[in-house]
Amino acid sequence: MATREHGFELSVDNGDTVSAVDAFRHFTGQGKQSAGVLAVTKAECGERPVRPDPVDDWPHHILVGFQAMSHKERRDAAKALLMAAMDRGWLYGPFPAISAAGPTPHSAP
Amino acid sequence: MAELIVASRPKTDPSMLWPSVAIQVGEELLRAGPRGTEWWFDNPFQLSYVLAEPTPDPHHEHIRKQVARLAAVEPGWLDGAGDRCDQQGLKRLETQLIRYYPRTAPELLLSPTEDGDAFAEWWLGDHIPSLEIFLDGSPAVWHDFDTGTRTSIERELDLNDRQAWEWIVSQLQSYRP
Repeated sequence: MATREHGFELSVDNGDTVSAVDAFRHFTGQGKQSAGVLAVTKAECGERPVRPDPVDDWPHHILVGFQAMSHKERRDAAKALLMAAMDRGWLYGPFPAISAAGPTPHSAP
Repeated sequence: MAELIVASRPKTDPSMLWPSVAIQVGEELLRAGPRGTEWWFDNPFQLSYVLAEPTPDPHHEHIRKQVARLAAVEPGWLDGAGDRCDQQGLKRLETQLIRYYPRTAPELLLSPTEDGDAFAEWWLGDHIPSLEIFLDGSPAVWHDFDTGTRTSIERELDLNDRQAWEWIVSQLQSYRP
């Protein structure tokens, strides 16, 4: 999630270099829970800055910036990305309810 | 004197889940207490009907379950950040939802926010409405994104006001495909 704690940047993986299944395994392998894998293209991110951010042994990490936006603009951008991702469909999953919100993805920044 | 034990949820206030036993005549709640309570009346009256012991309401159970999941969120749930949700605020939210969010409205899914508040979001036809609920009682923020026009509106709502909930529900129902 593009939260304040995360500097209003959304963590994603590069679909050109890693598969949805491997991205899911890497994420859940860190002890985190996931409802599944969705995807957006760089073009769908619009004016949002997209930059590589390789971490440790995971070179596929990318950040999508939601900084310098009002709360409403951030919400608009998050929902537009959610719409694009859901139109494309799940690349892996969805899996049974494991989060407070259940398996339905939401745009909460 | 007549002994009357009637198991029924008071109609006057659907959020009043406890006590679970009540006697109600018309819109007037005469007695309410824990299950097993006995009442004695000096002036017997005729009961027009007696409701059966209630079974759990699935809609209210769903609301309680959603709120309980937020209540169970531990501090640091968001990669070490993420506040705990205010428990009193959650109780107030549960009461509001049970009172004002009808079973005919689209399914409600709540998630926590980074600041320990609550967030609800729906996807209905061409709209992605959401409600950011501040558990300290501050006005909630309604945000509605139209996926067709890619425009949105935002509105502050006082969730203590029944009319705010009626507006929310009417909006959600109008978006149903």
